[in-house]
Amino acid sequence: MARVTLVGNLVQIAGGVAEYDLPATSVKQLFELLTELHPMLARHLEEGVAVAIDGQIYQDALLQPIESDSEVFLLPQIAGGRGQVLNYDIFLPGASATRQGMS
Amino acid sequence: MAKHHIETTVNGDPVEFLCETEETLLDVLRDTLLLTGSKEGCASGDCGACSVMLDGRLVCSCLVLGCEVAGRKVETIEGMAQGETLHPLQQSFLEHAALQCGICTPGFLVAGKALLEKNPNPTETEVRYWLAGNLCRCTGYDKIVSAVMDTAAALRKG
Amino acid sequence: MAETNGHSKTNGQSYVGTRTIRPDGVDKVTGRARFGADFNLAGQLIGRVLRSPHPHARIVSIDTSKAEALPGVKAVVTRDDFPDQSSEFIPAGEMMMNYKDVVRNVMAREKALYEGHAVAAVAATSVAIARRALKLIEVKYEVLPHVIDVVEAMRPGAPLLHDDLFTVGVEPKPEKPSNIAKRFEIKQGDVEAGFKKADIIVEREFKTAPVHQGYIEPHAALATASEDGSAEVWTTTQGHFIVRAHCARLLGLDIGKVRVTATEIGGGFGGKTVVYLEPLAIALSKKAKRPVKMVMSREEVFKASGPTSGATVRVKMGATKDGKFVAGAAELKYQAGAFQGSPVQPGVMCAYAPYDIENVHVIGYDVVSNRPKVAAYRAPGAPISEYAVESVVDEIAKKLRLDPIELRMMNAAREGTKAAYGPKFGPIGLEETLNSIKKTEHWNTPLRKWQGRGVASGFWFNIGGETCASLTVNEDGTVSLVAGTPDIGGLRASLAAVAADELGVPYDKVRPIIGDTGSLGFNFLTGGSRSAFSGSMAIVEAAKQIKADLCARACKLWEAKPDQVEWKDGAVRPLGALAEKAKPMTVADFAKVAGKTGGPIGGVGRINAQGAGPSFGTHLVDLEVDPETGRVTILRYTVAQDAGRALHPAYVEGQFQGGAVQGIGWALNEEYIYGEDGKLQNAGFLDYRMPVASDVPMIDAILVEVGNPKHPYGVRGVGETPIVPPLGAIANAMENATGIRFTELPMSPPKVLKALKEKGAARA
Repeated sequence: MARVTLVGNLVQIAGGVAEYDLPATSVKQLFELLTELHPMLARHLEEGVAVAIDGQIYQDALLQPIESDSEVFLLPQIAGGRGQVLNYDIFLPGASATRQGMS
Repeated sequence: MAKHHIETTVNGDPVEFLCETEETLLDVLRDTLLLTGSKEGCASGDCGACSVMLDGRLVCSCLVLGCEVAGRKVETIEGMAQGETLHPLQQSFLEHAALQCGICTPGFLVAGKALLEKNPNPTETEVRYWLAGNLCRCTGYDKIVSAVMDTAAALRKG
Repeated sequence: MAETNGHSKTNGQSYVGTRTIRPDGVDKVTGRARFGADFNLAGQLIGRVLRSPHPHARIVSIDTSKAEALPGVKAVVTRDDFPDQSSEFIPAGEMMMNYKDVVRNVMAREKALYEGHAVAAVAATSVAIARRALKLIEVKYEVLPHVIDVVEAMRPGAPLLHDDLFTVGVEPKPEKPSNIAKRFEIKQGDVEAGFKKADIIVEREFKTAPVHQGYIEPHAALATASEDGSAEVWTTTQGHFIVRAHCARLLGLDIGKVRVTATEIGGGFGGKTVVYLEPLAIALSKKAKRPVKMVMSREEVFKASGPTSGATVRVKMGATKDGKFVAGAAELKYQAGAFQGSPVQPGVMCAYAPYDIENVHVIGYDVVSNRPKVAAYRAPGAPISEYAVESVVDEIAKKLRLDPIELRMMNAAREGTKAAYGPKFGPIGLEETLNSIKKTEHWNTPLRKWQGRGVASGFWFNIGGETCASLTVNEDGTVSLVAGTPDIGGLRASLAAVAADELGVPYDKVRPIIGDTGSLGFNFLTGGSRSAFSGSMAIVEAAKQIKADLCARACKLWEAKPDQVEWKDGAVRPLGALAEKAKPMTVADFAKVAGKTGGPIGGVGRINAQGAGPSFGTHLVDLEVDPETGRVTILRYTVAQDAGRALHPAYVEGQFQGGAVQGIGWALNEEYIYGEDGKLQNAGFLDYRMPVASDVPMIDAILVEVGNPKHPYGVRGVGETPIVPPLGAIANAMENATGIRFTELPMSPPKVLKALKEKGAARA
């Protein structure tokens, strides 16, 4: 289980819960698992977060592997990326449906 | 209003051009004569990026009118190298890495050359005050001053 | 761990780490190099922008008919020529921007939100006609009350810029709109408990003014649009792929049909990571059916391009009497300008980053106000927050009678320290920089009356990002290198050195250029201290492909198996018994037979560079205050910063020196001065006072190299960190010299004089 901590405003969007133990093996899977727990997170994960895995900060690295004992932090994006919002439906079928009603 | 017909010398060549009354020498150099080495940073004489020599005197070409140079001698950055040989100051700037983005470099070279022609043995303070009319935002001036001082020393050695 | 990459030596010569002459240098010292305003196309028109004279006004109507009728005017554009954009956040430099705001910043729609906001643009056959045309455009404004200061803008009842702006990050969600776009916070441990453990607590409030990046070259763009929906643009920019994306989006064009060339760039520092003129030039060109050239005046640069935030910052720190930091709290309020998106988030994250503190709580507010939209400025957000924290750290040192370097050492972040924003640091060089400063003769030189010494540390995360670079071997063995991030300070020299070492060719046989958007895949912009870091990674990748290809060709030529050949020291070498019948072949050797052995030789690195390592720095400054005039003279300045590995030491030193001097200007003189009417009073270099050569001494640069294990050469980005420590270091030196803690920047002569008089009066 990777130990995952949300930083900054993501905590509020996740209903105040900052820390999670999740069986994620990649950043992509991590985003999927978090979105299942808190659908409101989807848009923010799309808009851009940086992911620190065992101290190394990654941006736009959807396929980056996460080890079973990794320490992961989700931070606001420092930048990097082509500025196109990913259509998360490619990875999370039905995700956009859960986003209806989001402010 | 009709344009002015001006005959002058630029970098040793006889040149003639037409210009409006309000056009500066910088406008004429860049837009009419297509000598774009002199740069416009402010158009108000505060940054020195447009520095040229007029009758042997260092001036901001944005503060000189195009029609003022009739019959006079204009020297720009384009005339600094001698054929294929760079002026020692130009070479020194390269060796000292005295430029980063390079936009202020023509102005500094013209001003630096003017200094060394006037004062072949300047102190660091004299170099800094002489160049105070040239703004650089990238280098912090350190390597520019070193390049000018080292060139002065090399030229003195002969 | 990074793989070893077989740095080659050409006749024993390795170029990385040496002071080579930059390949683009001769053109820059002869005036031949072409910057943004140096490009011209036959038949081009001159474009000019009409800008709002009011800091806040509703735009009731725009009548361009008289301007359009003026002979010589070929096109006029207004908000009607730019389709509205839906709300969508995109990275802009190192901050986030929303396309709905981008289109409104490029051309005002419902409101003019700052003095200088673009309201219309014309293209005409001459400058004089363009100017006259602007005067003929009739705009009806309904002038509204304005607000500029961040604290004023946060008050309930302050003039409201956007009636659809509801603060994000507060619970419950606000019902009424305000000027507070976002509240952001990071928390670690329990600061209240931490403060209880403290033997000493220092709390201070600081204020900084907006400052401009101050690049000497104004924005310039030349665009030509064709009837088939394509466009070509030459522009001075830090990111031509970003310009392409923005223009395509704003004008409804296919990205592939927009070709952007990055001209040589005369400074950017983050301010040229966004678009201002490019979409206008394309739109005008489309209408006029001729190329359109647009260049900003210096006044326009100050009034209409984004300076950084002015801010109010409150810091509270607690320490034990031995100097261990036990709690760090802060509240940051940053101006975003007319649209949301100040760098308050990185400011929050950077504030305590150099220190190992168990209990941290930092809150930041992103606040809009009627001044130009903030653009990134070198380590956006960090200089402000770290000025405040470094000032308080200094005060703690003084109160505890501890050496300021020792105090920082005691609390310094190291490898394995948990950063205040969460993750643990990998190998970092903060301690090394502190030690380097401690050992300098500078640190140990005695001072006289009215002289003061200050030290401060700082950091920036640095980023990687999408990067493409290509290497092509030409028929004569020379190598063409195409990179995709504009060269703002010597990048081409570093990349050429890497390519030369990788392929074992002489440095002067590598010719680097910055390719246009048609020559490479997407490149993120030059910023985030990423261009040498990511660019060199992509070059290593491209070289790997070439080396593999050449080994394969050798196998075919020598009828050998792959394990009988290897690339080493600039050549493919036969191993074992094979060495008796085959001779090593260099890149130049293969170039001669490229066609015969399969075709042209080349490689392209296409990566999303990860593994950027943070760069820590410590600055030391001595200064002297003239008590009669308030003038501050910088006597001596030393920078020690961790570069990981300096690909080109002279250009790394140049980054240290340039950033330090920008910091000196920010600390001592630079500020946007607004009148009561909300208009900028010092929109020129005379009164927006940046350092000149006579204001500063030589800047000693100490290159610390704690290698970044994630980069093949150990490189860390270096460009931004240098501007982070100077504000704190200079404020600390001022305290040392005068006994006065200056909590407001800039510490300009009138302010210093006033403070000295008040102190003298208090004593009298």
